[in-house]
Amino acid sequence: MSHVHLLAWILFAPLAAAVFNGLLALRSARVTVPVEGHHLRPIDRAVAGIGVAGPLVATLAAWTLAIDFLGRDRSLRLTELDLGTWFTMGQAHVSWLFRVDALSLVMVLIVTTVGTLIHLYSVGYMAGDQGFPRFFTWLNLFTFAMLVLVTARDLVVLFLGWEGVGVCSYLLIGYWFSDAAKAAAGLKAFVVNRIGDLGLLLGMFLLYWSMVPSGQASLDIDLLSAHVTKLSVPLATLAAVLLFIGAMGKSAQVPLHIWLPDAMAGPTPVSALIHAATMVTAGVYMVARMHPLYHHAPAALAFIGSLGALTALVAATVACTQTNIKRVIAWSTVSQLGYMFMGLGAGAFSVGIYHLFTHAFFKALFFLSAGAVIHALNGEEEVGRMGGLWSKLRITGPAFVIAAAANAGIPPLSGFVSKDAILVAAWHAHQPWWLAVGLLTAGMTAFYSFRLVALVLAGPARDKHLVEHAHEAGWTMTVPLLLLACGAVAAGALEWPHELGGTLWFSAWLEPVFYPSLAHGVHANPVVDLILTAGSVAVVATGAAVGWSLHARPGAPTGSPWTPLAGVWQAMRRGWFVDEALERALVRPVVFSSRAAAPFLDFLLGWMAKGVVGGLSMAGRGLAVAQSGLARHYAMAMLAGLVVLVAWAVLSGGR
Amino acid sequence: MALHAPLLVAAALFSIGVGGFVARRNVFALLMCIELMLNSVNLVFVTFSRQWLALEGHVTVLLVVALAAAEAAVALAIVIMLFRHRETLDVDVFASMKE
Repeated sequence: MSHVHLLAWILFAPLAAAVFNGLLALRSARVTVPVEGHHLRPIDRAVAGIGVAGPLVATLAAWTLAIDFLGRDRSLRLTELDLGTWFTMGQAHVSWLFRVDALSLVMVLIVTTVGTLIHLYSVGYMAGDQGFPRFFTWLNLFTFAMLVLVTARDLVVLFLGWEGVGVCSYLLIGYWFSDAAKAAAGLKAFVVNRIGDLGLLLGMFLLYWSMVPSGQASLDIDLLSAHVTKLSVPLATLAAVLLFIGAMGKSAQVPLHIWLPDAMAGPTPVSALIHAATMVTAGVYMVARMHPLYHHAPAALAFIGSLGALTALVAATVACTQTNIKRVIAWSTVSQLGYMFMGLGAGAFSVGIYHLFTHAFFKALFFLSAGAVIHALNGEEEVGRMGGLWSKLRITGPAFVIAAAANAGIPPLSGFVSKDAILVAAWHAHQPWWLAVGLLTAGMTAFYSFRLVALVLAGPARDKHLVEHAHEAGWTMTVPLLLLACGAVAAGALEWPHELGGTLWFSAWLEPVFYPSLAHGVHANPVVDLILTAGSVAVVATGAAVGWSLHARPGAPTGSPWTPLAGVWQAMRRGWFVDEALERALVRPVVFSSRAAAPFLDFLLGWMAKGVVGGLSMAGRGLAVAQSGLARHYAMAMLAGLVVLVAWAVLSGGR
Repeated sequence: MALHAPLLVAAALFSIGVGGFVARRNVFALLMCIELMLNSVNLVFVTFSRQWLALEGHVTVLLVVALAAAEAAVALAIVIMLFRHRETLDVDVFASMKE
């Protein structure tokens, strides 16, 4: 099969699954068969089959394409699917052009492979839910939108995928919409993302506008990339920062990160797929995709790296204090996204993408194993009622530990390799502050990861009754855990550091996309790299040991482990009051001013409406007089009209 | 031949017809006024037909006479039905078009 056909299968198999499942969802909404326990109704079985088959076909096609790419010369690792023109407006010529190159292929592999495993997991996790077909429809649709996003060659089509994943995220966070708090969380995610999207749109318009004088204005990424080097640096910086504001919304960077922890209201597979592995990394991908622009705007890159470092640190502090198992992992995701942007900011685009790649595996595993724990405890999410689950969950337990260890950066797991690469890149980019913040964050990451492991798995059960009835999940849930665990362990081999005798295979793969000089920092001094690695391992080991020892013993507190810290702990627990600050600074003034303006506007609009209605009814009454009903009057009116017409014809001289 | 004489007669006939149509209230008077207007037009047709030695005017007049006869037949039938309903020939009573 040719490349183009493979690309078509990758894109449209999930779409077809979404359409079929949508039809089944409409049908099941009309014919409601009551669900008994955790069993699948016949319609759910059909939905599960279609829903897993769609992404599975895409996965097989993606891997076929990847294997074929490996056998080719690196300059030939490119395939494009042209589905004609979407619209032409002014100089802009927007076409349905989908492209897979080395970078897009990495994203496609993540979305399809991790996505398929999560779809399979969802079959077990969502069994017995009344909205099962609806859930799979949105999940399939999300996969399609995400694939559009990562394969689009035109920024407008990319934006279409960008909004598509946003809509699916909204629908899936608010999946249990009868709970008002969950529906509100979906709305919050949507609204905060709109703020970022405004920046993205303005950035796109600015880039288009800057190309108009050349007579070939376009939003085609390749044309833009060739064009941006001709831009003045301030203009490029402005466009780069505007685009990054879009990425801040999607990838949850401070201060637009507030939606992600709340997004945990959605079902756990959604958290794993959308809010850990794929959608939230769209911002990272977009920045990496526009790398010529960012390369041309060093100030914007420095801004990205600094904000990433800040986000990584802030989110890690918050993650240390959470007591809801999913919220710990959510804040951890925000923190890891900060790492990715730190890597991009250091100019090491391939390193940032590599952390995205490993993170997709270990964070999806983290969420899915947390989901299996929640599933085992019949929906309990508070760590205060867990503990002592190690002996109960023989598959989920080790998976959870592997995920936490990879997240913490314990060698030789994948998280260690990618995090270490980012720290080394920060050092080589002459950003000692980023390095310091990165190291500190690495310590805290290890702390909260092992705090969570200790609280959930170790020690005696805090809630004996709940833990006694814990049960391991079925194969649809455990198989994805096992496969993702393999990925989380093995993904590190692709970029094993030079100084430890490895090959930077992943960077070499991405070299045709990024500039070779940017693919990895200048490794002038392997000794420095080795010292950095040793330092980060030491910090991680310390953090992990402290996190474990403080929380593994019986009666360990879920709150602040040291009494003097209680005040700060509380501030961290509340996310440093960013939500409250934004509420006071932005939401309340808007609500207040709209409340104040409401009576005035009501009066004005009411007056206008009454004026229109009154005028019309008066005119109607006036005209009704002419309607006497007498044939004579109508004849007179006709005569008068005739006289006027004849007079006009005569006076105008027959012209 | 002078044109003005027959045209003046036609204009006078048409004016009488129009004036009678808007002024009179009796249904039969209205029908007669309509006949007057139709025939004033007929007069104009034959006048110009004669003037330009063209046959079309004569043909049209024959058509109008036939139509007028048919119209009279239908109109008289309607008048009879109206009279049976309302026992009157005053058109101002028939104002139901107002609704």
